[in-house]
Amino acid sequence: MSGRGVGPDTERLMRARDVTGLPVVTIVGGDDIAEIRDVVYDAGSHSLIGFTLNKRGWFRGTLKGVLAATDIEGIGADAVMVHDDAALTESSTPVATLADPETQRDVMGNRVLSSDGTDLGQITGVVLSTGVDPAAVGYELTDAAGEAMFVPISAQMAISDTNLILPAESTEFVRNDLAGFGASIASYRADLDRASEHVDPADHWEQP
Amino acid sequence: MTTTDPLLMSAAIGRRVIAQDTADEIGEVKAFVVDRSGRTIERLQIAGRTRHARLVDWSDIASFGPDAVMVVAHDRVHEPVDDRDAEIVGGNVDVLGARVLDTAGFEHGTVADFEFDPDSGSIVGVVAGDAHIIRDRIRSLGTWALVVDPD
Repeated sequence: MSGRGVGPDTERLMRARDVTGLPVVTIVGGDDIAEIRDVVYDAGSHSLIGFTLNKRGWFRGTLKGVLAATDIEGIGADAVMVHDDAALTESSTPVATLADPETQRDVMGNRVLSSDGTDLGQITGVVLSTGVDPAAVGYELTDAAGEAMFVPISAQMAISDTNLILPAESTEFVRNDLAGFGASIASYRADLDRASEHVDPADHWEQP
Repeated sequence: MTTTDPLLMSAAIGRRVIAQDTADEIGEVKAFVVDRSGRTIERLQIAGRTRHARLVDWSDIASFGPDAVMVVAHDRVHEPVDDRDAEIVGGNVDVLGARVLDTAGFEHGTVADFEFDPDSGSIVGVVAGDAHIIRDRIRSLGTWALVVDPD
């Protein structure tokens, strides 16, 4: 087994760029039906939408079909798994959405600032959680010293054409290695779950 | 038929194939046509002196014996009849040597051997490196890989 992924005791994570070039393989047929060309990512909602594809074989070129994130059964270090070849054509996500994301903003190169005004670095990549329900979970940054850093994606992130603001509650989950970030993301999600469970229903009642 | 111990494909390759009706030696086992589920042997490919690939359906095998494979009649040998035959005979789908890939997208080496039931032609298990993969974990065998459920 090759080891570009991280896990299994933590969230299994991969850099989005490492998915490029992987074969798309059907579980019911064992066939390689496409190859990942590029990641389709909506920077506005910080969400993974899917992948554009290349043909396999000697005469490879761009495939018109696309692969929605919702149609993926698993992303591993060696392949992207789908149930069957209908995943490339019968997506629940309209093809137009994949080809033309709602938010065209390119997040690459944005400066990332903490909410207290510290410049943490520049976005150089997107980090995906793999498995049955793949999602964008973080950004990879390069700081002033040229070192890599990973920050969790948060719904509270503010983004402009040039900057991304990391909310205060996210800064403690920043890590400088992908393995550590996998554990950090697991803790981050657990915190979010706990926060949502501890909302007092009385807070939502209207006082007479 | 009685239940017998599984056989290894690698051990069965090269075994003589003989027609019961004429006692002629048709050839020897060259390869196994395993279906897309990866769980059943559909046909045997027989090596011989002809240029064309020759196959015999599993249902026409009277006995998969320790020294010879007995075919019910000499005229049951035929050329490839479907895409699956062509994929195996043409080398587009590897059986022995197939890449092993789990449904999460991680590779686990290649197939060293298949174990099969010589009575039914059912695949019983797969040997891949140090791992033994039971039949229930097999999902498919295609042009890219033998796909299996994760351990």
